[in-house]
Amino acid sequence: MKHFFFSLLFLSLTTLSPLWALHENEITSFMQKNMDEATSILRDNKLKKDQKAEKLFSIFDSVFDYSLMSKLAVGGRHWETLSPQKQKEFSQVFEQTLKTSYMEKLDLYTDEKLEIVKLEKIKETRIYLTTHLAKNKEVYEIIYKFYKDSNNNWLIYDVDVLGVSIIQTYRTQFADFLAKDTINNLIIKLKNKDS
Amino acid sequence: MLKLIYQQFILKYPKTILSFTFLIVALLGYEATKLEIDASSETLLLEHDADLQFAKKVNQTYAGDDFLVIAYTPKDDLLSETTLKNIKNLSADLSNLPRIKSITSILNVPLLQSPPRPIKELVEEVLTLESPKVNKQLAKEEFLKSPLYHNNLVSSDFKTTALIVYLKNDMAFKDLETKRNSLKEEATIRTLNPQERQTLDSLNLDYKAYRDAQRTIEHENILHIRTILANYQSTGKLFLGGVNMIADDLVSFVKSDLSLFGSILLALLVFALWLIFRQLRWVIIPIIISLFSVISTAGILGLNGWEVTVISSNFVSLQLIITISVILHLMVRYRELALKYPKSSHHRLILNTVLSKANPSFYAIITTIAGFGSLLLSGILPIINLGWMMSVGIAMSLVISFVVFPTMMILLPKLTPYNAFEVHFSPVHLCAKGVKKYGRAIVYSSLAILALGISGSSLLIVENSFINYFKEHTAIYQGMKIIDQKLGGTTPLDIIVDFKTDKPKAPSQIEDEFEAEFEKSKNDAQYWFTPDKMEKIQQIHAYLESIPEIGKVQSLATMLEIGQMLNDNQPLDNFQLALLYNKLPENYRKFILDPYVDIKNNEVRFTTRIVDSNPTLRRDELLKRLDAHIKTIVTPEIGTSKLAGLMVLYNNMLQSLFFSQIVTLGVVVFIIWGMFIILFKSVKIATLALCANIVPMSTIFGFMGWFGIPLDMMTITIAAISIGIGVDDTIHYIHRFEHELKASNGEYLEAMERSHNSIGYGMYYTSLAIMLGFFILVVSNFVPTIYFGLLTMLVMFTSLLSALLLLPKLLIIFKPFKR
Repeated sequence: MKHFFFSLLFLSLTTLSPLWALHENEITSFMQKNMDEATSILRDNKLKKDQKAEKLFSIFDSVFDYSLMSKLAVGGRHWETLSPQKQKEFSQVFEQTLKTSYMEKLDLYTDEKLEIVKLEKIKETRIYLTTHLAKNKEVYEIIYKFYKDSNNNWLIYDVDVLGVSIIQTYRTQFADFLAKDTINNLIIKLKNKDS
Repeated sequence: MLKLIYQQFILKYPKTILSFTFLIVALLGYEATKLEIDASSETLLLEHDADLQFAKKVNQTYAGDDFLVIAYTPKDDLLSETTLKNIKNLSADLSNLPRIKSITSILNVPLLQSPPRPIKELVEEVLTLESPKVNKQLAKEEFLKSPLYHNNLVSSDFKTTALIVYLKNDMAFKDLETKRNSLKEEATIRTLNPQERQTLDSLNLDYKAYRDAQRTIEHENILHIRTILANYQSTGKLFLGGVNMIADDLVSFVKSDLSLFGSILLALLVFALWLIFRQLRWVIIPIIISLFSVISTAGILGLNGWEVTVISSNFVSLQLIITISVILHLMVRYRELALKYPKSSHHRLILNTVLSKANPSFYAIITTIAGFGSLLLSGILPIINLGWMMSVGIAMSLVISFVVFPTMMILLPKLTPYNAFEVHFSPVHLCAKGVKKYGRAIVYSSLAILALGISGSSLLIVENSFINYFKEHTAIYQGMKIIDQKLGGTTPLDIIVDFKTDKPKAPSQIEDEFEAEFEKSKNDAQYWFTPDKMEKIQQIHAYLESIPEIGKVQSLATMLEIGQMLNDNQPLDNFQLALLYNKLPENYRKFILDPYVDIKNNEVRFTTRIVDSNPTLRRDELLKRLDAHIKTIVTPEIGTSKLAGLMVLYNNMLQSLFFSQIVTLGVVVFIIWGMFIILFKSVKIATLALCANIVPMSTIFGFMGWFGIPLDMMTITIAAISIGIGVDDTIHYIHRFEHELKASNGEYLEAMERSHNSIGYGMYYTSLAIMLGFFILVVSNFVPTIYFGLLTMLVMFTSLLSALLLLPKLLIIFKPFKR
């Protein structure tokens, strides 16, 4: 019982961790369903940009591990020096950064098709889901990177677009910043950018 | 001993000796045909300059082709059908030349906003001015606004455009050069084994042969381009430019000036000699001896494989001056003796002439050699070469003069000298009077000149402006000015910024699986474009653009600016940049990325061109200012920055020339003082003699300083001339003065008058002949040649005045000779 409450507390702290589990055999179907749904949201001309975004985030939030993404973006070495409170603050800000950046790019979408190409189990705790965004003859490859957490839950920790890892771009960017500045200033900078 | 040689040998067998000398000179003359003129711009660079190694590295990293620039100002509108057709035809004509790889012009550069299109489309299809889809009005706007083309491919008034002519890279030559240089480098670290030595020797030979062949090809290429351009002159103004061409042209100017003015100079010398002496032999003998001396020196240079560079190309003039001085002293002495002892035999007169002049001439030459020898201390190869050349050359002059003069004279009949010139017009008398009457004024004005000279020296500037080498009405000046002022500047200057590299940790050091995964790929190229780096790059770029002396600036910031323009004026974030990096087509990447970033080495490059024609440009000061400011942007925790490019290399060369001049001048003054002490066996006389030399020297530097004549590779040799001439006059005068003092029973005033009336003529004629000869250089179109002529005249004049006014006055005041 004590253990259950502790887990609940932990889950609520990492606000965006899913409250349900995604199993290995469900990944493809879950993602296909959500991608279809996302496509129809994107194509819905009646919706405003922020409405679209809100709907899209509600679909995918459950499967993204923003907390881990934050940790990876900052880099383990820096992350460990932060107090749990700071870690939480950073995660929140970083999640917002990711979402803002995503929203900014929504306009670029016209009527591309999204389809799942393959699911690869790289190792026991890693799965790469390769999808294609296609328009006319051009095909863009997007890879969703999943990991298995201690509860056998599969969560996304990074997305590769055309060979560019979103987390890695932030990681190199933050490493540059933190080499000569503090995490507090990084948080302030990200907050300013988001607003 | 010397008397014996002359009596038993030289004067006894004059025909044999003369034929033998002629044979040797002829043989050396044959060797002289092998004399090479290495006029490439590399000879202007310092061989062991760390910046040169750096520049070579930069060139390798951001390998670009050599290019020439054609500035075209058509009569019609720049985008009119006729003009575009002309550009197209001109490009086609040029492309047919074997050396030309490609031509970039407004016709074939990618247009990104004429009309504006989404990035995806831009990537799919590259539009150019020739594409039917292009809107010309928008294209004009794009050319004028684009950071890529504005002030680079088109001028701000949209009247002039540039055609960039890329030349083929000669890989075989580059390979040869690399091999040779690495072995050469090796040789400076350790002793090569015999086999390596042999390889290096043969590499050197191959390199030289290849380079010479290459140079001819380059030169012909430029000639061909000029011929083609001439066909289009009716459609507008066309000028050929670019650093490669300037170097080639500069050298052509120096060469043609030397040959054209060399012959006129010789003619004027003949005229001067005739004017003074009015007897054919006094014209023929000095000319023959001068020619013999120059030919044999050139032969020795050819024999040793020493190459004449732009810096040492003055050696002919320098040697001519010194040779004339040696012979004229012999001639004047002979005439003096002949007039004084008309009954003396021809043989006796000649013998007495050479014997009485041997000592002072020898010392005059030895001290001059010491002066030029000091150039060996400079550590700069072309300057060291000049030191060797001159030392060998003037030693040759001494020997040839003392062999040819007596042998030729003895073969000619005795002739009473014609001395009307001395009688009718003699500033020498005036000088003697002046010393007597205005002694104090002479000393005070010398002190004033010295003060002016020293203060002027502090104003000396060292500048290497290419454009100021030419007079304003010349085509080369106008062409350079257009490229310089309308198409973004001339002399390339690069700024290289190395960002601090954070090495990836070894996988064993990382416990966390995720950490290991991201550490592994963090140095992948596409993640390189972080906002911090981009911000620094844009900061530096903006700073460079704000500098008025800098024309066009291009860097990664140019791409960022274009990216922002295409991205609805939003700056590209590092994710977009990473995507762009991964997806950019090769033809764009070569154009906007590769020249400016080396991701593997975590390094960026800013290419700029300096506006050479800016009259307020102070290159050394500018480079220091840029370096210091960029270091405040790129602090040590961010990385390091360094300036590179031709601008830096030329500046280094000139700065070191300047520095070495100051150092060697100090050493020379000291050495000459030491030699004076040995020669005159008196510290007092040596010091007085030195004073008489320092005044003309300071006049030269003061004159250059006050009149803003910059020290450059031509004018910098003037100090050496001033020493050579000044010392000659001083030695001859003091030597004679001592002799005359004995003859006048220790009466200083009388000795002075007697010296002026004898040796004074030799000094005066030497100066007069040389001043008249060098006067012709003033009409050159090549400004350094003008300065060289002007300064040589000034040196001759001041040295003469100093030796005929100040020196005797000092001798009279201090009475340094023992009774």
